[in-house]
Parts: sequence; structure tokens; C-alpha cells
Amino acid sequence: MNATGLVLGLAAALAIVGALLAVGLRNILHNILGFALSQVGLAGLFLTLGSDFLAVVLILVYVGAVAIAMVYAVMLSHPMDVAPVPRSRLKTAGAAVLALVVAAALWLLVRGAAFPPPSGPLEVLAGVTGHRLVSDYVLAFELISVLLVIAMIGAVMVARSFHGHRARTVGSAPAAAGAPAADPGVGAGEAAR
Amino acid sequence: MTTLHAYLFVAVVLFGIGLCGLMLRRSLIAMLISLELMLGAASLNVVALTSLSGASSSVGQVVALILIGVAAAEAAIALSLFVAIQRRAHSIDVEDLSELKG
Amino acid sequence: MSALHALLAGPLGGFGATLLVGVVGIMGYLTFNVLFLIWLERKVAGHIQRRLGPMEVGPHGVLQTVADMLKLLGKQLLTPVATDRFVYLLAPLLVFLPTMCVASLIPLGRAQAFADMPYGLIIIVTLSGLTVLAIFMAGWASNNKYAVLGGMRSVAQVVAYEIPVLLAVLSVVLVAGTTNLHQLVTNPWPRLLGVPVPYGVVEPLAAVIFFIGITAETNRAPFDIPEAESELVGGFHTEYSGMRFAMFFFAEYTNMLVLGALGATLFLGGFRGPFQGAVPLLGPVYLLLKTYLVVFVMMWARWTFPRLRFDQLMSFAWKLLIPLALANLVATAVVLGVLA
Repeated sequence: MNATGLVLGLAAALAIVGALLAVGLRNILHNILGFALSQVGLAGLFLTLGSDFLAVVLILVYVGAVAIAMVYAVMLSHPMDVAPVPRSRLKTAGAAVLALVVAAALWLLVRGAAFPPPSGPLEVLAGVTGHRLVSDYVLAFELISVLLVIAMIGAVMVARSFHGHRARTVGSAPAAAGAPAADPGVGAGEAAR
Repeated sequence: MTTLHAYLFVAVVLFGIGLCGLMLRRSLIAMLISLELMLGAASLNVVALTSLSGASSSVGQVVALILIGVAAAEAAIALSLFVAIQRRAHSIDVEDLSELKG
Repeated sequence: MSALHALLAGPLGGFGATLLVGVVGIMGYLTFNVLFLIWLERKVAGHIQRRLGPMEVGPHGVLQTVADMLKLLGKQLLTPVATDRFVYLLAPLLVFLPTMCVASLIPLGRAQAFADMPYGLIIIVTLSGLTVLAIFMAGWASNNKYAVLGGMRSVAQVVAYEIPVLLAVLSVVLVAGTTNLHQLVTNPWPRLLGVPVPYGVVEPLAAVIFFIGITAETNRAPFDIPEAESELVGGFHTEYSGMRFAMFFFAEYTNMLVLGALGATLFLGGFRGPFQGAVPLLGPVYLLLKTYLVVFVMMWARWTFPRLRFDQLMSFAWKLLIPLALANLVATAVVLGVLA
């Protein structure tokens, strides 16, 4: 087995184990950590495909931003001291079987298809991708930026408006909303003024 | 099994795990995680197919980058919605969110 | 170093030897650096407050931190009950990992295998954002509300200050036209009135924003809210003792060094300096001098400015630094467009 194969196997194992942890464990924080692990594995897979820029962006966005945003959402919304409701066996089995059926169908489809060999040399340079992004696909690129702006404004509006309970500023919204009202840590902070 | 099939197999497995989680989990955040796993599987598929077969690989990278952008926007909106739902209904367990049930 | 490399190249192969020498060298240096920086911090603090600082162990107390490290090594490791055990034990190890990777990516001189990556700068920015996850894990797993609060504050703070840092780095990238750190240093510098100057001179605002951002990212005063002793006991590492606590300390000071080195590379010309072309060995010396200059200014700031309140901290980042950094980026792009 050559080095690329080894990295491929390792990355695939990371991605799958991480995904299993992300779905199977009961503690939501463990799920998020498993998700981050899975994305690191996925970035490794991209690396073996020569898409190193994509791998870096994936880690930057998913592990550095989305996973942390999820952690924050958990802090703001998950009651941690509530014991998890036991899962029903039937439901677990049903979900697993259905997922297995879909995956098997997809796999049969993929295995049966004939894939032509690559038509040209592998263009893995980020520069090439970047040029494409601002020439051939400039519309999609601009739409993404508009989408992100809308998402940002929408996220702020959705999270802040609630029955006249308004966070003071956008910037301090996570801080103001993040700490439970009767928290001694925040109390001390307020008193320190 | 060719190298391409190895990548596609991993993508299928990831997709299956994500699908299973989406059906099994009751917490909205866990469901979002499962959804992101499925999106990751899709982008792996695109990148693997364009790198190892057919069209030029930079197209696949563009698609994957756009996918990451969309997924990030989706996650931001979804997470802020979860926080708003938690404030309103005091739970983000999907089985408790049944206000419209007759 | 090269003799050692040649000796190891036989059994391990060229790349393996490079890797081993690189990793061992970097680890050893970082350990030394932490001991030195803690001593320096205490000395700087002492002199700023008109006292002497540690004087007992060794001349001017240079061995004080070695003694402290030995004490920490000998301390009992306490694990509180009802911790999330796996995450609790993983966090001190994980907090150190991204910083280590970043340390190996800073170009030290002419040729360095690790540092010559096309997107080195983006990789560094990506990795340095990962430390916060480990800090959060530590706060969370400790099962202590002060630790959780410290962790949450840390996450909010690092996420907020990462954005201006990224934008400041981007404006330098625009000027330099590359994200390869090695090229960034060796490329011809921009000329101001005919004199080649480092990027810090043509991008002064970006340099200031970067400096403020890295001070906040390393959770140092005046931005040390995550571990504000007076309100949060010790912040996210409240429940860690002995060597596990030392790991967080280690990570903090290593992070200071690494981000300082990044700042020196981006804004102060990195390993470039007079006669460096003729004597390659001067490269690392210049880099270290510039790095420790940045680190010294960080210490100076810590012992001079009072701590900010948390909402001040957040509005400072979101309402002042990010708009400024964005404006700076746009202005840079416009100026470059006009000049081109």
C-alpha cells in the first residue's frame, strides 16, 4: 500500500468513525465533536484527491465556524441536566434498516454506472478554481455572497426578536443571551462596573 | 474496486449514516449535524467524480465551495432558529414541537 | 543540525529524517521558549510595577520557571467527580495541537520543507481557530459553571476577534499577491518613496488591528475575560491541576510566540534583515528578535491596560475593529487598483 492509499484509508476511517459518533452518541456535545472529527476526515479525503484548498476551506468553515456555532446553540438551547429519553428499539432498528436500504440502493447504482476516465489533466491549483469562480461561475459566486449576507441578517433578526425581549446590541447578543439570567459569573461581572 | 469507487463508497456510507441520524434523532441540533454529514457526502461525491472521471476537476471544486457556502448559511439560519424556538417552546426536541397538532 | 540530519537519513530516509529533526527541534525549542517567556513575563511585570520580579532561583531568577515546572510535575492530578472524563482528558492535549502545527509552518530562513506551502497563511489562520474548540471542551467537561462560563466567553471572544485578524491578513495578502509565507517574505517589498519597506509600513492599520486581534485571541489582558480571576475563579481551566493545568499554560505562551512570529513574518519582514542573504543563519535570529519584540509589546500592554468588561470587549470587536478592517481591505484594493 502506498502513502496515498494509507492516507486515504485513514481519512476515510476518520470520516466514518466521526460520523458514527456524531449520530450514535447521546450527549449532544459529543455529537458535535464527532461531527468535527468527521469533517477533518473528509478534509483528508479531499487532500488525497489533490484538492488541498478545498480541504483547508472545509476545516475553516466546518470545524472552525459551524461546529463552534453549534456549540453555542447548544449552550443557548439545550437543557443539559435532563436525562435523555430512552430510544425505542423499534424506531432505532427502523431508521437503521431504512438508511441501509437507501445506502445499498445508492451503492448498487454507483457500482453499476460506467465512469469515463478523466478527460484532461487534473487541475488542482486553487488559482484555476479561483479564476473559474470569478469568470464562468461568477453568478453563483455573487449569489452565494448575497445569500450569506441575507443569512447573517436573518440569523441576527431571528435570534434577537422575542416578545420585546431585545438584546442590547448585535455584538453583545451572544453575551447577553448566552448567560442564564441568574448566573453568579455574570452577576459578578455586572457588579464590577 | 477502483480508487474512484473507494471514494464513492465512503460517500455512500456517510450519506447512510447521516440519513439514519436524521430519522433517529429528536434534537434539532443533532438533526442538523446529520444533514451536514449528508451534504459532506454529496460534496465528496462531486469532488471525487470530477477529479477521477469525466469533466475537469476545477468544476467540482467550484461546486464543492458553493456547497460549503450554502451549508454555512443554512447552519447559521438553522441554529438561530433553534435558539428562537427554544425561547418560545422551551425545548428543541422535535416531539415537543407539536403546536399545530389537532 | 545538518550532521544529525545526515546521520538519521540512513535508517529513516530523507523525508523521515527531516520530519524527526523538525518535530523534535520545534518541540524542544517551544518548551524552552515557554520557560523563558514565563520568566520574561514575570520580570516585565515586576519592572513595570517598580519591583524586581523573581530573584531567588539562579541569577535574576532565570531558573524560577524551571523550579515551577518541576513543582507542577510533582503535583497530584485531581479529577473532579461527574466530569465528562474523555473530553476532560482530551482537552489539554488538543489545546496544544493546532499551535504546534502552526509553529512548524512559520518560515525560519531560506529553505524549510514544512513552511513552503502554497496556502500556508490560510492553513495557519484555519489552525489557529481550532484552539478555541479545545478551550471550550475543557470548560464544558469540567462540570463547573465558572469553567463553562469561561469557555463560552472564550468562544465568543475568539470568534469575534478572528474576523478582524483575517481581514488584516487579507489586506497584506492583497499587497503581497501570495499566500505562501516563504514567498511573502522573499518577494520584493513594496516601495515607499523609492525605499523598499516591510508590509507593516504600507499597512499600518492592518498591523495594529492584527496586533489587537492576536492579543485577544491569546486571551491576554486587557482581553483576558475568559480567565478573569476576580469573577470566574480561573476560567476554563479552574478544574485542572498539576501538569494538565501546565498544558494550558504551555499552550497559551506557545500561542503568543507563534502568533507573534506570524505578525513578525507578515508585517515586520520575517527572517529578512541586513546581511541575511550572505549569512543564512541570521534569518532565524532576525525572526526571533522581531517575534520577541511583538511578544514584549503584548506583555507591556498586559501590565499597562486595565481589563475590559465583556460587553465592551464584544462591541469593540464588532463595532470598531471589523468595520475598520473591512474599510482597510477595501481601501487597499482600491489603491492597488489605481496603482496597477
